[in-house]
Amino acid sequence: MNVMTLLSLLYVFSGLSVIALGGGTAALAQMQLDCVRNYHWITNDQFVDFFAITQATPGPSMLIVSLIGYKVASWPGMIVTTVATFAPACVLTYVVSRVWHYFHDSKWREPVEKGLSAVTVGLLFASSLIVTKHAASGWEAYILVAASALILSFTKINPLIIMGISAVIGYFGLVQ
Amino acid sequence: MDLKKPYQRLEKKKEVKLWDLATGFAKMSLCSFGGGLTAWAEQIAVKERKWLTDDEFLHALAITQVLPGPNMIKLAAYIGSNFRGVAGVFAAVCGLVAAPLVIVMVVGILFIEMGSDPAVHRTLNGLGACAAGMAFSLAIKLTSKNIKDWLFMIFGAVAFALIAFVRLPMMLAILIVGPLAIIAYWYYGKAQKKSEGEEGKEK
Repeated sequence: MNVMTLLSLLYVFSGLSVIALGGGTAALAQMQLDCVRNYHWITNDQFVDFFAITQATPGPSMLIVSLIGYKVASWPGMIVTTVATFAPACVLTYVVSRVWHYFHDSKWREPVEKGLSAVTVGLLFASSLIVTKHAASGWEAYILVAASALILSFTKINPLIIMGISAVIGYFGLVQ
Repeated sequence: MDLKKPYQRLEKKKEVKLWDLATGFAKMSLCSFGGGLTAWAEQIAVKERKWLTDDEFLHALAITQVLPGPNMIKLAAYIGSNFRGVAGVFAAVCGLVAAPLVIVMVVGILFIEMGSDPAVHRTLNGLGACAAGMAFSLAIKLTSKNIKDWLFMIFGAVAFALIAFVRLPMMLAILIVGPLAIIAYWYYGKAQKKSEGEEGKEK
């Protein structure tokens, strides 16, 4: 580990954060290419394992960058990749929220909010479908997806209870 | 322009403490085992803590969706910024990231040392299916609030179809449908005001 490695990590991951239009997952393919092929920091299998870990643990799945940083350059690497990925998005969002507030009384505010909201709901349905395809590979799993969707939409049961039941169903190997 | 002026709309009646922002985002983050983070954000921010209404939550999601970067980080920064400015951004984002970061590092280092257990893998299958269901329930909830708005339903359906069936990247779908939807709402709003104005004259 040396300063040059840390600088390359900073360069690659801050760049990834900025190109990640449409969310973090959009940048995963580029991240894989950079870390595995271009810089040979980790192997492809390690990348896939890290991805599985961040999917399984709670919190944003973009925390995969912290694992990569740790693997490449220990704790300093972890700090560099984590900050490089999250800080630009925070600064940009802060500025946009202030600018948006400035246009608070603009005639365009309502059409923009409503129009983008409609698109967002379409995206939410599409990404739910994509997540389902990744998570489920058998009719038992599809039933579990549908049942949790219906229960969580139309009852006030705490989601943690449904998650507990799903975990038990999974533990006994009832869904693939 | 004065960017330091506090945001008025979301916080009109609400004073949210920095500590509450941090713990709220930490809670949604920690609850999201196996995914479903955005749905947990709605569960905590709207249902449990009542920081925002479902509509305001959807607007926050919509605005942050078009910016680059990890989605939940942007949502946390946006909500934090609207309630408490720069300090709010720090509180919300640190709350969201700190605890999961520790967990990811512990699990990741253990995994690098020991490899994984099939029982863990099976349990995660169950949790993954539940998280997918939870993601659907969020989409259903936010749609049901706008179900009578036909423009909303049309543009939502078109965006969905472009990604799910035409398989466009999400950003491209936003870039194509977003401007059309904004323009449609602009003319729709104008037409409505005009007809209201005419009704007013008749009276």
